[in-house]
Amino acid sequence: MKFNNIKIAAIAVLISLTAYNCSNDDDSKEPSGPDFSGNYIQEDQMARPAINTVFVSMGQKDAFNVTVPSNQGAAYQSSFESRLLALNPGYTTNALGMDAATFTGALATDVLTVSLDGTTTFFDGTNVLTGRALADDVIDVELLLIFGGPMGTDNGPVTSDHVDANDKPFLSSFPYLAAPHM
Amino acid sequence: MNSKYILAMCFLVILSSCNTSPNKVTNVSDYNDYLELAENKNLMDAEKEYAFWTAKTEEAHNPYSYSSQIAHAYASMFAATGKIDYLKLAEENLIQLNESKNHESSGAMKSLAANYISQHKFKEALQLLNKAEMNGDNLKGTQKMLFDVHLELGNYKMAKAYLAKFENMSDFDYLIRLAKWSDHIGNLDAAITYLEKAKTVAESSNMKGIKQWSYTNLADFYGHAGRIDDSYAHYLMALELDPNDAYAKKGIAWIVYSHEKNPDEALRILNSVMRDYHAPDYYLLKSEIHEFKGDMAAKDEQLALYIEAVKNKAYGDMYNQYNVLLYTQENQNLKEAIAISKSEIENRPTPHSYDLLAWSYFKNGQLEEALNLTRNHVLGFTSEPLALYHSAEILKASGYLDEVKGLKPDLMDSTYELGPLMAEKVSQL
Amino acid sequence: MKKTKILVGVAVITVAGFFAIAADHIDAPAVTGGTNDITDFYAFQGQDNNNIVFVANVQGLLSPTATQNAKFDENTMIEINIDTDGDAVEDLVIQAIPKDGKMYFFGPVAPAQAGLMSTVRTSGMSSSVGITAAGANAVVATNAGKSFFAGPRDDPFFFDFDQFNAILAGTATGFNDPGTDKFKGTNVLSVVVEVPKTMIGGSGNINSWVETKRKQ
Repeated sequence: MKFNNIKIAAIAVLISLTAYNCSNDDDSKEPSGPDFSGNYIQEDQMARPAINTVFVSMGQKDAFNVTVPSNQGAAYQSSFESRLLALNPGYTTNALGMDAATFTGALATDVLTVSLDGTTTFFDGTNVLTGRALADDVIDVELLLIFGGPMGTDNGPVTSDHVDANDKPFLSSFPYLAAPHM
Repeated sequence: MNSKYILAMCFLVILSSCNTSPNKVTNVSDYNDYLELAENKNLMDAEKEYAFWTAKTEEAHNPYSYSSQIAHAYASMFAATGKIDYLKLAEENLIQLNESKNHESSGAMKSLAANYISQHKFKEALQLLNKAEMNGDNLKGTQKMLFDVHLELGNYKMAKAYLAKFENMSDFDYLIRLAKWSDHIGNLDAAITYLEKAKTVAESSNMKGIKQWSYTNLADFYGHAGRIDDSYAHYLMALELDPNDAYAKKGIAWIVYSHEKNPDEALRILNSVMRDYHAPDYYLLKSEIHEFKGDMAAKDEQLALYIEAVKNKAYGDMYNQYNVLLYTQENQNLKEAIAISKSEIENRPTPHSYDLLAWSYFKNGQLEEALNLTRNHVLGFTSEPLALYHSAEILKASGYLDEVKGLKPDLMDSTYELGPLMAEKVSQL
Repeated sequence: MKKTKILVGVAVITVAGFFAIAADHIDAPAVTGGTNDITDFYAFQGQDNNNIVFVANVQGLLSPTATQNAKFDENTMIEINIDTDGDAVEDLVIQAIPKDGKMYFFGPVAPAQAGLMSTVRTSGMSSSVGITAAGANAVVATNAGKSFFAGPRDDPFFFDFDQFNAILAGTATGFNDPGTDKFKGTNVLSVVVEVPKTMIGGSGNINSWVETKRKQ
């Protein structure tokens, strides 16, 4: 059905264009459908939550936003590592067993890995980085990995922001996000 | 629509058609609905916005969590009412915001710089923007504002250098600044072309704010170029987007007054605007129109209202230029006019500032000083009609009648922009 | 002598000329760009386990009043990038472009080229959906197992962002319990797309991210 609608719309556009071309009357200008031509140039990008906010310095943000992910690791791993050690000078490894270089190497390539085979979550106690669900407390996960040490027990006052859920319940079906506050 | 209303409208149309002249561009029925609005929606929205963020502030740990949003609500109230106190409240919140960010957030610095630009505190704005530029975040946005401030301060080389840093012929921000630059160097045709391109970008983005901005600014430029029909059409387009747009209504009032010589209708429009909008310069405009009508008592009344309004210390330097023009026109406080002009030159050594000092000297009988300034800093540095008119008067008094003759045709072309009273002066040059 | 002459000659008002005022009008145009700032990105399995849902949000911290006036910038493409072979280079894209109150969707489809510049893959036209008005029920379009939404939603993000900043700035040593959700009560503009897994690689892992791109 939808396919037919699109075809009909396309024909209508074609007819209106033809009508316009054949006519000398300026008043017969029909709307010719949306214009999708042209080049679109990148201004911003994002994958994992708060990575840019926490790890990218002010002077680097413009450049980070237009560095393709496949180049981000090489360009930003070392500055991410400095930033991590500035945030937590006592960092050795985290609960995932990653040392500073490994952890920041994983973070600097800012893509969100999504499993097509089952549970999708930022971290649910079992699955790690298989997606990001709406209810995931991603900030606590990141704080724990940055500050919590190898057992996740270090620096207690900064490993959770104690905001554990959204202010509105999510929907179980599409579009999943709650209706806006009005 | 009831029949009484229709009858009243017909009556209005008949009345106004009595005044119809060959110059008639406007039509009361095009804009009358915008003059009879029951509410100021922009103000109401800004008040709701303010209430929302102050309520959130009360539950926040940090009293400055939402200073940026609260400042934005105040700035919107200023835009909707012209009341300077809102702009100062916005400034207060933005200063707190910068303190809470240890003066390290370029976004916070730029918000405060924008507020200072509105207050004509250009040097303070420049300081903040220089720091924001070092900080580096959203650098192009900072460079755009640096262009604005350097242009205001008369640092034309710097302005031009910054303009080149964000060149992009499909960027609205670049196109409007290129238009502004073209206007500065006296190329009005180019300025209009670039602003028209900016309008196309704005319409294709379909964002209301920049569409409206391009409509009112294009309307101004069309006015400069004597294209009154186009100017009027674009003020109407702005009003269609925002029926409360005081600036667009003032623009139409100017067309009605200066082009159609219908002072009563212009005053009716302005009176309607001033129910909601209270910038002091509206009193000056009304006083001019009363003078045109020959009603000197009403003129003086409006001048008194203006003088009372700008006594508010919050205005700072915002009305310096108006005050100089007022003092020189009334031949009062000429020493003060000279002093203000000198401080304006110190703040912003632009041709416009030098013109004010030259004109103040001239009115104070110091013709030689006036002529020197005109020759060294005004003539050939600006094509602004008011400055050229002043220059012409100074040249005439100095006996350089050939040069006056050279200036006169351009000034005659600018009579719409200068207004009927000035047009009379120009014709006597 | 000259002064007296002038006094007589220039007793006409010259102050209020409209264009002296107009010169200030052009002073402070807001610098544009905030409409393109991405606030968040989500990717998760749908209610139907055979599908993946992508969520891209822009224009954060909208109050209810601001939400009424908020619009997608029609010169902006929101592009969801999907890498199916683990090299962090996009193999498929889903493009969303607003025009005249509708959001048009293209893909999942191979991009014309990877990287910072895109063209609209009109051959991959998927659907269009009316942008849901603030306060109205969600308008959803479906086509070939895919679902589409665009419009204001409650911001799903939750974080005591201010306390976090205070800790970074050294003015606090830890979080409060309970914390304060900075994003409580605020909205964002959302684009939500649900697609069958078979259209984006079928099984295994994908990498994904979102970009905003401006028409030149």
